[in-house]
Amino acid sequence: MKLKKKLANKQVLVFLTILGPGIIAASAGNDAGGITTYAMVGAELQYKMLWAIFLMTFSLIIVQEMAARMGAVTGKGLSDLIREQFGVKSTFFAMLTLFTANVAVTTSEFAGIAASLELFNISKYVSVPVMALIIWLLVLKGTYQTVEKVFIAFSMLLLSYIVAGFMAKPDWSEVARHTFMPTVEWNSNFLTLFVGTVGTTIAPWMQFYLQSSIADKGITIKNYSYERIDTILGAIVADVIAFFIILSTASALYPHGITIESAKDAALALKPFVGTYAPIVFGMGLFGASVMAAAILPLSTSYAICEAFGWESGLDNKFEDAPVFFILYTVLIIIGACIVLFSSQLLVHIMLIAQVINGILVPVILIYMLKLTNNRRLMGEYVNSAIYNIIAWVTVIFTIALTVLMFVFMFR
Amino acid sequence: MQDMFFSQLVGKPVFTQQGTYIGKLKDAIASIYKEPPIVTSIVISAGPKVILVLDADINAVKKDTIILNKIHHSPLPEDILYIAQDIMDKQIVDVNGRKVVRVNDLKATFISQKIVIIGVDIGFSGLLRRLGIERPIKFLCKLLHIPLGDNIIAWDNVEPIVSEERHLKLAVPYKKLRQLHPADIADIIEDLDSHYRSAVFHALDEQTLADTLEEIEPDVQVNIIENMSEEEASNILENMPADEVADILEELDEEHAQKLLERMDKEDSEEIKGLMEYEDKTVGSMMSTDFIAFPPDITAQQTIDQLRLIQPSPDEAYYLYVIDKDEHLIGVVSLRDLVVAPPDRLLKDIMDPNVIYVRDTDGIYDLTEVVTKYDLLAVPVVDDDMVLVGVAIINDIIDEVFLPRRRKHA
Repeated sequence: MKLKKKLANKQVLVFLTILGPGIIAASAGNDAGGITTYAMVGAELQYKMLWAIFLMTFSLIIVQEMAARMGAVTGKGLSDLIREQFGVKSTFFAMLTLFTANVAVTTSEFAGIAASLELFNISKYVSVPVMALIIWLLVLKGTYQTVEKVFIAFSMLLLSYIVAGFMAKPDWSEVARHTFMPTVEWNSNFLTLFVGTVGTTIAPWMQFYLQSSIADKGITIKNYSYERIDTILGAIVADVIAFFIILSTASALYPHGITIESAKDAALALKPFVGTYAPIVFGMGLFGASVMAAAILPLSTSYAICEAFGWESGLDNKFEDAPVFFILYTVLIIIGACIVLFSSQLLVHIMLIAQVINGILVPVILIYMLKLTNNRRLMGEYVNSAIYNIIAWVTVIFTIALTVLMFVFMFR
Repeated sequence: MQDMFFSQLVGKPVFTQQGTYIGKLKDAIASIYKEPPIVTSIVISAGPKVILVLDADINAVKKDTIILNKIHHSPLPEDILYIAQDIMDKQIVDVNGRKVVRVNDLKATFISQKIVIIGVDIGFSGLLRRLGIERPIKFLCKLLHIPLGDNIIAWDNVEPIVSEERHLKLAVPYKKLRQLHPADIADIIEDLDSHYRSAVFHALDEQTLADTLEEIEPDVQVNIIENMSEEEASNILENMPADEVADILEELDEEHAQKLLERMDKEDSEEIKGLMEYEDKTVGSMMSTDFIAFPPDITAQQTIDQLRLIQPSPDEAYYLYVIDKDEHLIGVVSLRDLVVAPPDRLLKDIMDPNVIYVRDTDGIYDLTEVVTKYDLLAVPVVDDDMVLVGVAIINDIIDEVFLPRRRKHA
């Protein structure tokens, strides 16, 4: 009797070892928008962006580690810290940034839901309202956590990109060359995809989500070393998956001149591995990933904003006790679903635009994070080291420069 | 007397009486021994320099300026509270509302040449004021007939939470907070950032601490215990009922739980270990091991005398159980039966031998059925040999059955 229980605990422990907050946050970054953006990058630019993924891994590691460290040292979420250290005006600006970025991401998740179910011949006019309502109810009733595993399992199907990437027999010497040799094309298409890639890889919401989960778990700097490994590993895993999505679409689609205009095209890249099942495997994977993020994002956004302004938050409250929290959560889902329903843009373009918006906004959040992690009164001896500051600032400046260049080429 | 908000003071230019410009007000310092806090010193930023004016002798607070009489120099006292740095935008406990709120602004008053902090603004208008858009929005709301009231709590009803790293030794730490019911303190601790939890915790006396810990959600309990030294943790756990301790230890990692058990009293730790053996959702996992049992052949008077000596808690005294020399449950006596019985009557003649009991391995569901069917406040729990091992008390049953959400977090 006792033995059985101990065993069960052990299994949970192993599971937790694999899925720490760092890994969860980073792989949740590979959501509908992420998959689509990477697939477009591969199909349109072949291997030309691989070097960026390689370099961005370092940025992602640094940024995520900063968020995790802040959570462990201060025991507070990122929005709490911004409020306490910078006052109301700066907090308002930061929260407006986060809200805008997350409206974009939520929209792209609903676009992902629509796109994946189109593979099964379900119109977006049915799938989006129905799924919005289901997600809204599941989360509010607190039953989401019990069904979450189903969606996680679905999204695991996307790991087949790694196998597909190998089976597509890419030209490995070309792959290696492009991974370590930067190339840039000076046109708006390349730059837009670049900003979108940055935005989906280092999304603002991931930092808020990661820091809060570290703080909520009560992890302190004493037992931080394990979290640190988890965070770094998470960033690497996320980028390896991104790398292989690009690799497989680059090998399967680019040579035939197929660009991605719907989920069907992105699914083609899985063909070398799963053959005619490609649309089903891809559809289910995209669906799972989209639903998961569509459930987490509006919720974590409402938490972050309410905590910053000191409004009551949490699902165990009644509506009257935490009105702002519930209204924010509901409004985010409605906006996201409505944009997808009433926009005449291709679903994949909605997803890309959302990632570009994130790419434009991420430097704002990074600057806040940099100021906080360099505050000695707050972080004590755990302030950023010089190398951290250099990499993070380079990321910030590089991303801002990319955004400016993108707009310059767009309107030229 | 002149009322104002602290946010309106920050950034105001400060002049001497002769009209010499010193700089802009950056922060204010108050002694933590005074309630409500009286501003004693002010911090002024003059370009890149920061000037500390101790024992600020304020002549006047005007619309656009603050005027100082003269500037004293005396050493900075140790136990001070920086208003902007420690209070503004931070979490604070609303003692009346029994919850944690965030400080949007502070209400101050200028009275007999002193600035005194009299209240905490936690409302929407405070946020608007800080954003610099209070007037236009208030005007708009008035036009549209939308009520937009202030939400200011008097200083008497708040308790600032200062992180332990600041090393402030509060004279009477968390005096207002400590007067709350442990269940309310528990709710407040759950709402605090994890590092502030221990600051509040360390201010409580051991018994309040144990009572509070008992009421806290399991995941937060574990978090608190893990962040304490082993000695501290085992001291607190020893003040808690064994069944609660068993619940907490089961959530900890095995090695840590083992270490804590070793530090405890041998008898206590054996009892806790026994409880930990029970499967979840069985009667044994939630029963209390603090019960009162007497041998059958003592008189009613002797029993009452012993009860006076033991002074059992109200939970334990619902029923008295009668056990033979091998600890087998043979009868039950209610307090009423005991009191109305003649003093020289033996317990075995008063007791009801038809005891309603449950087995430790029974499920919680069977237990609730027994409790509701027979309208009992507590049910004795026996093992397979009819040995009395514990009591299931109605409070604990209600917690277990009707608050499953609390347990699910873990």
